[in-house]
This record gives sequence, structure tokens and C-alpha cells, in this order.
Amino acid sequence: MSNKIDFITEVLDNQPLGTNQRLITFKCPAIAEKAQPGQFVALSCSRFLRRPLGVARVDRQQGTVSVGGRAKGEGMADILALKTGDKVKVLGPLGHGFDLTNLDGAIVVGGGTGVYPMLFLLDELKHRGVTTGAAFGFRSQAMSVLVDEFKDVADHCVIASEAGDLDVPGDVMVALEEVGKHFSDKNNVAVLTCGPKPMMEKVADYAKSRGYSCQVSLEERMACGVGLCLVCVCQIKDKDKTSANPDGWHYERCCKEGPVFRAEEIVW
Amino acid sequence: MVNLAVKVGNLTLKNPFIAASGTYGFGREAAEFLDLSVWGGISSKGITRLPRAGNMPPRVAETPAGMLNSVGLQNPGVDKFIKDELPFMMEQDTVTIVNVAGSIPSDYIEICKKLEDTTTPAIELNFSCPNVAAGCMSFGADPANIESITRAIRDLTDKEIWVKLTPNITDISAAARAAEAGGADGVSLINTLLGMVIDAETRRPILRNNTGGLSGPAVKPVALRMVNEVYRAVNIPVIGLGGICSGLDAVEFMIAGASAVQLGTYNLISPQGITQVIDEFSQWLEDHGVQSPGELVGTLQLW
Repeated sequence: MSNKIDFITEVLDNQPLGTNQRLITFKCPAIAEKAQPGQFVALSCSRFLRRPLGVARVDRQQGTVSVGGRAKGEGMADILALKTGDKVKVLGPLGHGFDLTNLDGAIVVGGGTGVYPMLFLLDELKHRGVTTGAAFGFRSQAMSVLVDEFKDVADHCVIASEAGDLDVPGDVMVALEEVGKHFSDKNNVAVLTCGPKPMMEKVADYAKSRGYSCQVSLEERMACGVGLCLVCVCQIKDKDKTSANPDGWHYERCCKEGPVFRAEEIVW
Repeated sequence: MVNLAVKVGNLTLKNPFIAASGTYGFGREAAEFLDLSVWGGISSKGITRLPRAGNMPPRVAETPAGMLNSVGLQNPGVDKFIKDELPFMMEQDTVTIVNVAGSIPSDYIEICKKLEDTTTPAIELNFSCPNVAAGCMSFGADPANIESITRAIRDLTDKEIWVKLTPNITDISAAARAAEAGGADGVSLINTLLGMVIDAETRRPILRNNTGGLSGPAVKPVALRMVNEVYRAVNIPVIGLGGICSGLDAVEFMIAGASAVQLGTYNLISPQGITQVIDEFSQWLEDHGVQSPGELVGTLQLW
């Protein structure tokens, strides 16, 4: 059927990155063709549920898709141990990604394993001719991933490390302040972020203080990935003030309405 | 090619496979990647009198052969369901079953009265959701409640009434007999088994609700035992569910006594898998010279 979303794919490459991290590339032309930045795929493993991973890179000519991650837990460890030639079931592309319409500039901010989808995002922004800034934070150079790739694709890239052995010492907010200087003369700037929730909240505050729009990619424990089971919900503010809920929010699904939401909608 | 149609009470399903309540919404999401007409039926997400936001996340915890959920009946409420969701379900070429849940007995009556103005042919009374503070599973734990609420619904509708039973009970056949005595046309079982998953590092349950309902292959042996027990206890059709993931699993449930089966958690791990399950089921019947699924029902020979 034409709307196939579940594929048995072949692993083409498994590249070690940083400390205990890997970038896995598999062949799936259908997902490569359709995927948009901020969307995710769900890979099968030895455990019961699949593991959702943000799309880190697509090559539409080659029909390949890459995802990155850290070996946290048995399921992810299986996925990161996949070898070239192994078969893996992949569901995707899933969810709603970043809205990239009408942007003159975009500042991309990532932390933790949230940096992976930012690579695909920066590639797409470059392709669209949008001026890009990139701010990332790692503990140390040894823990950092994809630094050369980010530097290569972004117009302005600053990488912070807590150890002080990358561009600037400190956390990602220090990097963001530096990168932001290049955007003070621009209109229609969006801040696009993926990483730990406390980090994204600070990033959203930064964007608000500068009058930039902000989109954040949320994460919650997930089961189906396609909107059936209602487990991966997050609190979203009601648009309609007359809503029955006196608290003024409702649940939306990270896997379906998200994972990317507008920062101002989120109940932090 | 075997004709897969089954009769369940007064309902005829094109095949014995029904999407289980709470794993399929109202079919809209699945319609994006699947032709819903492959299903014999679809049981809606549990509908309550008023809208429910559901429980706080995390709402899912994984186990070696299944998962626990604590969604807590998140749904738009009966009025919005009838206005916005039921028409979509009724347009599909598959049988709609509306799953109805309540916190107090009168909730079931109010919801079913509203459903009387609709064309849904079947109602599944949910006396078995383990994730809400009031009602539901606590009604299902007491056969007297099952009987009285079922009778109240029987008195107001000619639609098919199925009663969905909880396994969190000492004697599920007593619950099934109570449903039959109250006038139910069928019983569906099992709903999820109440459980807990603990994170030793944080010394907290994974689920924000502390407990949740276990489903998936882990519960299949429990479900098969209960389906067979209930099949032998009542004279109304049994709709079997609990961890079905293949055509062969469905065959086993029908041998145990199920006239039809529901697939739930399998939809979550293999959202396009139903077509293959039906193919496997059909192939099994053909390979074993079975002319119709009905021939399997209750053919289990106990030792």
C-alpha cells in the first residue's frame, strides 16, 4: 500500500561518536523522501517497544536515513550495536517537525542527544537559503558529537563546553548569546531547539526576550509513535479561553501533534 | 479462500478481528496508513459522560513481553464524540462498537441514552478500566453491580450490548454470568491486569499514576484461561483479547471459546500488522481444512 510506514531496512553504517554515542545509517528511500526536520523514526530492538529517534540526516539521492543516540538502557544499546548489513524494522517518518516557512534567519539550539535532529534541520535551512546560527552545549570536547558537521553547515556556529575546551566555556546559553549577536539586524528570526526540557525553557525565554518566535521539540515516554495509544502526552495551553478545563490546558500527543510545538503553547 | 465472516450474537462481522478499545482512538490516525475496512470491527476509545483529560505522564512502562499503560480514559466526552467522531466511524466499512465507561452507574445510563439517537449497532460496557479513581473496574469487581447496570442498559436499548470484564477479580466466570443475567449479548475479556513497574534508582514507580494496566503477550496465557472458563460458564458469545499478535494466537483464542477476537497492544507495536495477522489466520484455517472460523469456537479438549 502507498501509505506504508513500517519498513524492514538494512543498516549501512554505524559510526562511533563522542563518548558512548553512535550515528546509525540505514537504507530506506521512502522515509528519506518524506522526512522533514524534527520528525522521528521508531526502531525495533530486543525489547517490547520500539525506540523513537529524531532523524539526524537524510540523503534523498542515496535513499538513506541516519539517527544518533547514546546507549542508555538495553533497547538503545541493541540499536547502537547494529552492524552493517543487519536488518532493522523502522517506522516513519513520524510526527510533525519544525515549521520553516517565512524565515529570514534561524538560530538552532541543541543539547544532549537533542543535537542530532539539529543536523538535518540545519541542512534543510541551508538548502532553503535561510541564514543559520547554531548553538550547542557539551560537557567537554570528548563528549561532543558532530562538531565539524555543525561548523560546516551553519553560517554562525558556537559550541560551548563546561570543561572550557571548545569555542566558549559554559553552557549552551553562553553559546546562544554569542550566536544571537549575528541576528540582531534581522526580521523573522526563529529559535528552534531540541534538548533537555530545562534547557529548552531557558532558550524559549531568550527567544521571547528578543522578540523571536520559538519552536521546541518535546520528548515523553512513548509507545506506538503514531497517535493511537495516548501515552506520550504533554500539557499544551488551551487556545480557546472558554474551554471547559479551568486550568486552561489540555494534553496533546508528542508523537502526533508534536514532537515540535510552539514554545508559547507549552505548559513548562 | 475461506470465508472469514463470523456471527457474534446479532452482529455479523466480515472477519473475527476487532480493534480493541483504547488502542485505536476512533480510527482516524490508523486511516492515514491503513484501509480500515480490513477490520471486522473497531471498538472506540472509552467514552465518558464528560470530557476527561486523562492521567499525568509518564503513562507507559515497558515489560519484557508487554507494557503497562495508565492513560486514564482521556476522551472528548459523549457529546463531542457523537458530534465529531462517531460519524467518521460509522462511515467506515467495518462494524462500530462504542466503548462506554462511567464513574457512577448513572453515567452508563446517560451515555447509552444519548447513543440511542445514533446508528451505532453495538455498545461495549467498560467495567474494567484500572486507571481511574472512581467506578469502572470497581463496578466490574462486583457481579451484583455488573448485573444491575447491564440490566438498566438492556431496558433502554436494542443495540448489541457487550460487557468488557476485568481480570482483576477472583472469579471472572461469576462476573460473566452476572452480565448474562443482566441481558448482555456478549462478554469481552480480558481488560488489562493491574501492575506496577519500579525504577530502583529513584525508588519511584515509572508510571506517574503509580499503577497501570498490563497488556501484550505477557497476559495471553491468563486471557486464554479466562476466555475458556467464561466460555464454559455462559451461553452468550465471548469476545477474546489479551496479547494476540498473530493469526495463530487468534486461532488459540477461538479454540478456547472466543467467537471473535480483539487486537490491542499489537496495533501499538505493529500499526500496519493487522493485514498480515488476518492472512495468517486465513491460511491456518485453509491448511487445517476449516471452512469457517465459527467451526473453531470452543473446540478445546481439556485433559
